[in-house]
Amino acid sequence: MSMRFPNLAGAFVLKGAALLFAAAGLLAGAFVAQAQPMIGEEAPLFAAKNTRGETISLEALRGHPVILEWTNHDCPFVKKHYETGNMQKTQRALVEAGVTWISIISSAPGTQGHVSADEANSIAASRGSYADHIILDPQGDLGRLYKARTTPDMFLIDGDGTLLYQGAIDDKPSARHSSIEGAKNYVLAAFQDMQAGQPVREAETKPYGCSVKYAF
Amino acid sequence: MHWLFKSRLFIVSLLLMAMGQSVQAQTPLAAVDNPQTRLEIFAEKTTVAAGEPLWLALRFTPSEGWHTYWENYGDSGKAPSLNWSLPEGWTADAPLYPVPHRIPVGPLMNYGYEAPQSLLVRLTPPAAIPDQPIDLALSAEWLVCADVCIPEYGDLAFQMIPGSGTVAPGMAALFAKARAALPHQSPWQASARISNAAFALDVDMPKDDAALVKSAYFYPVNEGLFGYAKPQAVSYGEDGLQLLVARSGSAPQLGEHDQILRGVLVITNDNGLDEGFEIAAPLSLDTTLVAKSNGLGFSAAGLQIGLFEAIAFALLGGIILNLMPCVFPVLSLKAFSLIRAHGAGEKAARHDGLAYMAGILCSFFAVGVVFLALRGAGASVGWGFQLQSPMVVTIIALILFVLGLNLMGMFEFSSRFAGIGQGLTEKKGLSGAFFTGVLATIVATPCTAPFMASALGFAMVQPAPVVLAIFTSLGLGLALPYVAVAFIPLLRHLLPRPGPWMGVFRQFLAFPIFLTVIWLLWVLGRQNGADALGYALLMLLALAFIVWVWGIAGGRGRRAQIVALGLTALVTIPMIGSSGTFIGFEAGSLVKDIKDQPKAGSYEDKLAVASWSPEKRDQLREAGRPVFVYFTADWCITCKVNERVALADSDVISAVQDGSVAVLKADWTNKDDRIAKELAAFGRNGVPLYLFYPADGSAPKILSQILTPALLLAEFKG
Repeated sequence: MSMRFPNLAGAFVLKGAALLFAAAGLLAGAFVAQAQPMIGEEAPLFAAKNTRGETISLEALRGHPVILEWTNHDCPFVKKHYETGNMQKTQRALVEAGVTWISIISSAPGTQGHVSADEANSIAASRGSYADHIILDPQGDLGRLYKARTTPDMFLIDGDGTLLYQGAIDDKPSARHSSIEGAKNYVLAAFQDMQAGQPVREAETKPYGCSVKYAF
Repeated sequence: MHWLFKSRLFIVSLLLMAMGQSVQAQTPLAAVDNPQTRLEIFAEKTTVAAGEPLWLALRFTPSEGWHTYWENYGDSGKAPSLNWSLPEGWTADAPLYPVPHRIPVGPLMNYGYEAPQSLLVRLTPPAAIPDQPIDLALSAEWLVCADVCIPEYGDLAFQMIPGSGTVAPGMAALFAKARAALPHQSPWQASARISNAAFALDVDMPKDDAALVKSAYFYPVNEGLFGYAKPQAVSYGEDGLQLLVARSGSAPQLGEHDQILRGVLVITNDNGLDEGFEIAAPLSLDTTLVAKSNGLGFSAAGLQIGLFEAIAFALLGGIILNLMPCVFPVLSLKAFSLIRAHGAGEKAARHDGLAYMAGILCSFFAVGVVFLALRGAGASVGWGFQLQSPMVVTIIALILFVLGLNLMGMFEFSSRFAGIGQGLTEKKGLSGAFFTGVLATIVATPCTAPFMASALGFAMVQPAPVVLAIFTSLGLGLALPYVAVAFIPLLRHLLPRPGPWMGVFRQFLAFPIFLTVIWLLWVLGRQNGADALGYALLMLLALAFIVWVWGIAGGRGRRAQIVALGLTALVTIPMIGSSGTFIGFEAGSLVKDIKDQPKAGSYEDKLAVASWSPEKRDQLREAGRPVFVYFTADWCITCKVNERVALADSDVISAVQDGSVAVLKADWTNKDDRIAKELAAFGRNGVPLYLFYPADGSAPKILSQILTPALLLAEFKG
């Protein structure tokens, strides 16, 4: 009998959680159903706070190309690109050419790569990241919106808001540092095609790496 | 060769191998231990002969709970990469992968292996090799993941000695097992089409093979064909097996290399055994291709039943109908008349039984004809469709109400109406028996007996003669128990002897009848609201009044009868005239809004039940949630009982909440073409139907029509 009340309360909490889950599921579902990142079409719009607390809106960035980089600092594939300096090199080249680089962390609380804003900033600083903004997306809404699958997973959006590239950073699906040498950097190639006013030759590649650690 | 036959061979060979393995220990040529995977290399032969291919097995053994990847890893991951260092003139082919498994990770779907598995690699030495040990080396990189991923590496070096090439001890079993795990060559031709909206794989599978398919899943090697987490719909039609996947994203660019589709089709057969088939099919652009929502992941072939089975099911279903609460009183009445006629002749009993059967058969035939006519007119109809019309519900309620009054003894049917309880010796009794048969059919319609849904689902898509055969068989089943009693004197002797108890029992039978009336009125209230319900109750009162008036007038002179006729007209005409306004032929939408909102504290509220639609189901599935769908209707008693017993169970409710199972309700109380189409897609044309869509995006499971908490718990916790 003494168990009765706690049980009741537990049931309420469970019910509340289930309803929340249902609502979140529907919301996420709606996101997925509405927007579909498609090459040559408008990239799905979003507005989110960066780690400095400023609101970043894709629409407000019109006029500048934008790179979205899904990241997770503990993922070995992300590590390869940062420890070899390959990611920073790519960031620097694009940022200096006027691109706004946004790193996005979609790791859910309790999963690999989940960090606080301060942690994210200090990791970026310690790695010498050139990213303009870091967005924390622990609910995975942004990740699901773009159907980000792996870390790293890269998206290039031009100044008009059109999605030009999505997929892997390069053509060497390996975590070995040595694989950077001789790799074809798809993101740089896509950017160069865009600069040259040509259609992007390889606009969609299969991303490789760790799965995005979504909340579910 | 028939593929099922092959799968038996496969099991036998596995057993043999298991025995062989326990005898022979296998020593690898080289091995490397990483934190989460052990990689070993085995050679099939002890020595290598010039120009003769040598098979190697690379066995990856991940730690418990970790997995490695297939050549297409799905949404995330990495295929193993193998770099061979071989002497001049040697070649290594691309590895052969075992049949993969699905590994869902939240909203993502990966393809790989959660158990030890061997990749097979064929090395070919040149035509001449030196007569000394040959150094071979492999540098491998692979990804092993649990919730996190670790890239692991192995540099393995080994030597092969030139020789005639005998099979190494213990290797026959190891290699046979590794080969058995590879996909088989597909015995069927296949082709694939793709558009912006969908991907379709057509497998030219003969009916015999398709009949054994329970579910199927296609693992593509090609990238970008469809989302890996998307449910795959399997159906069987004229052109064989079709697998359809909805897709979105950019229009596919079919380059030089994409003209051929490669992949593995995994088929789960009747015995629940999985078998993989290698598919290499031409892939073409077909802009007209759309993803019809025809019940995702459902294998129509698996449920396809033959004509004979359908007729047998219909017969069995008909027999079971006799026990349903809506039919039982009518059957009791018939038994009653038999008891009364205890002393009557054999012949009379038989005639009565035949007349009853004729009544049932004619009614079922009529239902069949109406069904065909509606189907011909393009309407989606199903078993119980009659009750979607409030007018039909009201008329059945009225008929049953009069029957109840009769049982209570308020009046007796005159011989013109042919009394239900009257003696068999009367000649008029035959039409009475016929009428009872008709009545039994009318009251049976809402009770979907467990076996009937499949039979009627089968009927739905058959040509007219088959439909009528099935309806007739159903009627035969309903009539059979009574006819058996009428024809077999031995059975009749088992019935109790007539006596005063019969009068009491007859009155008692009025109660289940009135119960059915209450239920029908409740259905009507749900369909068209309180106005219609109030109006129907008025009609019952008027009917009772008329019956009472005629009961008095019946025994008197002509004048009394004229008065009764006048009173009847006075009451009936305005009733009939305005019934269309109040009750209507089509169910209204006014109540539907209220119904969609579950009452707080009800089990529907606790289960967070939402209204079903194909879009909502797909959304929930894409969000990675398991989905339970129940197809129901207020007029379906089986459904209501199932829901009370299984869905309202506290363990089931907490399992739903714990597992965040999404519960969707498809309410067919009123006509709804989308629901009718969905039912048809699952080979049904009536409710109930229970579907469970697992979270991993795999094919939905059709659950039993008799739902129990244990059955649901097994699925939800599975």
